[in-house]
Amino acid sequence: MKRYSLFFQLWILAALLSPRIQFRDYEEGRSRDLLTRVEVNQSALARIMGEFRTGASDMLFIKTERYLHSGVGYVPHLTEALLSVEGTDKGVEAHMAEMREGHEEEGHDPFHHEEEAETLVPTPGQDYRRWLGEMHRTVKPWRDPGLAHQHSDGKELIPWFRMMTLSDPHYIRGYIVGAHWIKRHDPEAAMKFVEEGLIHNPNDFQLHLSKAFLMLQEARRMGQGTLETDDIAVQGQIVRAKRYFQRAAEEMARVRPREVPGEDIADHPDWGTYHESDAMAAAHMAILLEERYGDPDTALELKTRYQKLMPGYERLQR
Amino acid sequence: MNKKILTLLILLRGSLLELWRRQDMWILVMLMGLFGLVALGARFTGSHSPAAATFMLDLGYQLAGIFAHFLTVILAVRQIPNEIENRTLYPLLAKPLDRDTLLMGKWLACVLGGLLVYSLFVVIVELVTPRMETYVFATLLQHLAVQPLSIAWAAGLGILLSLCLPRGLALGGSLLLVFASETLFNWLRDSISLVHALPRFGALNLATRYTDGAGALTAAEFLFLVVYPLLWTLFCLGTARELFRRRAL
Repeated sequence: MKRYSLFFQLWILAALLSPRIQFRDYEEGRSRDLLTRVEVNQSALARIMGEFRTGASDMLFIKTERYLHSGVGYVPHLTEALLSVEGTDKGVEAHMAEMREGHEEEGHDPFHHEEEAETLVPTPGQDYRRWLGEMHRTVKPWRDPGLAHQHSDGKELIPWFRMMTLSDPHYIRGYIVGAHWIKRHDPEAAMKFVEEGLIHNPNDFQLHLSKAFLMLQEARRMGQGTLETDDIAVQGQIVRAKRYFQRAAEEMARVRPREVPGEDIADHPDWGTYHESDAMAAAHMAILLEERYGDPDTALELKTRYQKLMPGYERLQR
Repeated sequence: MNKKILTLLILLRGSLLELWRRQDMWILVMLMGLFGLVALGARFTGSHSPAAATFMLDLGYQLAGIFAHFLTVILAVRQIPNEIENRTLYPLLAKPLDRDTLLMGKWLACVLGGLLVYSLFVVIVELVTPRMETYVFATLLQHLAVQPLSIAWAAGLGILLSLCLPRGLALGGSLLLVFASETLFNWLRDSISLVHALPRFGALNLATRYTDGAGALTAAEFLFLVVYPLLWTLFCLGTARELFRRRAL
């Protein structure tokens, strides 16, 4: 019995040591670089290796695209523009708008969405497997890529975002895209989702930006479609959103690589177009809201600061 | 040569022969070979972008770790139950061989088998994958230093579970703990502090840290990473020893 107690003590010791071996939070690596993920997803090798080519969160992210297309597997067709916070918001909004329009027109299938993308299971004309391919297309959800895509309303996607952020709490994209889908069904839950992301990634500028946009949209909803109102609650919400835009801009300034004259910053290995797009949005909104709803002198200071930081951003130079 | 060492060597040889004759190892070698062929083909056709090359490097190291741990576990969970089932344990113990030596010999054989396979797979990965981005060599060294400890721990865990559970359950349980406990830990760590008592094999895997280009761990961090599996291995082997000693054969 005495010996078992000794082994039990070893176990306790190992358990006490467990919090000391938490090394996932390194910042200098490439794992959080979304551009790399996109690049890998587009490589022929990645396609050969199938969905297991990426980590669990990447796999789940791919699943969301499959669910959005009513189970039909298309070659991933995310563009860089769609990866930014604003791009995500616009993409989701455009998708939902199409569905709303569809509901209004009689005889129109609301789930149709025109898009060019290759299916993972090839068409009969391209499939050398003949009857085997036919069987594959019959037992798996499949749709002729020439026909309009059938999109779902996004509700089925939400659990996947939950799972991908549970499996990797540093999966920023999961939080951002997830929040913009959740927002369509429950804005409060969307805010909580982003806040959860901020608990795990307190310095991530894109999450601060995402939260700021959600707050601003809430202010617009409270003001019944406008921010130009004297309602104190709306004004308070705008001021809170402004703080998050400014925090996002500060965090962005901390991590944004220095611009080299004559070189596009989006070509920097640690900074993609979507990062730059979000950086511009953060700086622009921080200044704009300060100018309109805060102190013009502070706004001028911010403008001078970000003009120096982002000399290539024309909108700031005006 | 010391009689005890000689006995250990004989046990090692027996277990390694078993590994050599089993199909499991060859299936894994074939799978790793397949990875090698794909990576090599891509390398010669020049279809590697830097990100895809890094991905292949990461995949290679992950597969090497997964396959080596898998093989170690399946080898470990059947060592003693097989000897009991085939009644070969009795002549072994009838010789001047105590149970502790038998247990250590079996464990060492599993560790050695796992290490041989891991080394082979690492050589394949090193040969076939190009390095097109910046990596920190010290991180790789740390990864390669910690993986053998992880394999030794997996062997100990397999033997321990095989002594207290039926073989199928022991195999399933060991594989689950080796491959899924880190995910479970990450899921629950913020809500249940008791999950720190789970074995965290995933924490010993620095392959992604290396392929991400992240720097090496500090000396203190690395020390913790070395001590952690050692504590677990001692726990597994110690408990297995007590269970085996008390077991009525």
